[in-house]
Amino acid sequence: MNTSPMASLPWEIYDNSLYLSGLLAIALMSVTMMLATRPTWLEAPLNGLDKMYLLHKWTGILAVVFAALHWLIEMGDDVIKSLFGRDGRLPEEDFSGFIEMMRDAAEDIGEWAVYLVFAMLVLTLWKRFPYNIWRYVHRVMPVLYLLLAFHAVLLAPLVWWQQPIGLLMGLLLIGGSVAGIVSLRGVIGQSLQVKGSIHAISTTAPGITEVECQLDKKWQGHSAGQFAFVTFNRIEGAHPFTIASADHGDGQVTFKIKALGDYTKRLDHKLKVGQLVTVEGPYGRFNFKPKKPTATQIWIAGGIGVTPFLARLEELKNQPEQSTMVQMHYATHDSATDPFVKRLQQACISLSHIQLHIHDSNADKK
Amino acid sequence: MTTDQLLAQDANKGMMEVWFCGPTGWAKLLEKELRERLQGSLLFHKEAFELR
Repeated sequence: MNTSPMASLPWEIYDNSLYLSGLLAIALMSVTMMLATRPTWLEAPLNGLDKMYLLHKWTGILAVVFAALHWLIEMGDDVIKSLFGRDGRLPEEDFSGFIEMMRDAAEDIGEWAVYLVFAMLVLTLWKRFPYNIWRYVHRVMPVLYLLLAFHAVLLAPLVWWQQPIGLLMGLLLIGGSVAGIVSLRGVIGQSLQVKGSIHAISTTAPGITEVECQLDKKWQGHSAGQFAFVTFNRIEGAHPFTIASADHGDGQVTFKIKALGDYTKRLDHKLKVGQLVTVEGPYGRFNFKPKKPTATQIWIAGGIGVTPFLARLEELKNQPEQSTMVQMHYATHDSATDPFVKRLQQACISLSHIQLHIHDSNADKK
Repeated sequence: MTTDQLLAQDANKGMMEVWFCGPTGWAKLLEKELRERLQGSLLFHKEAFELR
């Protein structure tokens, strides 16, 4: 990391801070890009795609924080000059002709790309910004990443490329760039995408639409508790929904969709039987496999969160050998009108090892 | 539903494995309270749909 052994201490600190913040920013951005491609081999170590996306979000936020720091340090060289003078600074690396022209371009591109990355972070954290617009705006991120990778390659100290840090950075930049190209080509998750059609639609409760889909033979099956990205409309894009049915090996999957956001509120009016769907998955590790077989197993569901448990109860009917004792709790606002209460009670009749407890918040208030 | 009610069902009085799916705020609160009471003897599984 030592780039200027003969520089004065303030300039030494300045240079190393500048390069370190830049390195951390591009390294985290590369990881963020790679995570965005939904690599299935990382599901097991990261405990599911949902956790992988959380990591993607936080590595992205941290990358922007370090990019902001890098930009501030770069802008702060005048302060060092006025306080300590120019003399203690080593001369810049000497390039000429085409390389120098490219380095100047990389500097300008880096600055503008960073401004756009800041704006993207603001839009991402501003929850009132509509998701259906945000997901299109977010697609520009691979372009910004590739521009910042160009900035990093041309402006990293030459000596790095002869050191382990250069090898690490090279691997991250290659991984991030490949991920960026995969993203730009629109082929993320393509190997797990299966076509199908809507077999049945029903409204099981006010605001909850049940959609039964018949998928092609390519569907590899799923475990109870897993989720999939469902595309009913190409313009709206894919949305994640928990699969509410057990796998019977026949390609039938059911989703129970609650009207929570802009998209799901309008959904029941837009769907019709026979409509084509694309389902990508299954993903997730919320699979009810006990990590500690001796531990007390407790299941807790609130509202529409009951869907993975319904799938598991259906699955257990076909797996009588799975008889670990389970305490299941379901919280609802009104058990008298909640259709899931009856579904759960019916499902648990033949499963003596599941003890069902219904918690009615209205009844508790009375 | 309270933490005490859940702990009363801890038949093994040692390790508890919870599978939770519901509102995020409730998950955080419940996990925090159970961790305080059970120390390291808790496995808490929850889904985390935050794609933005």
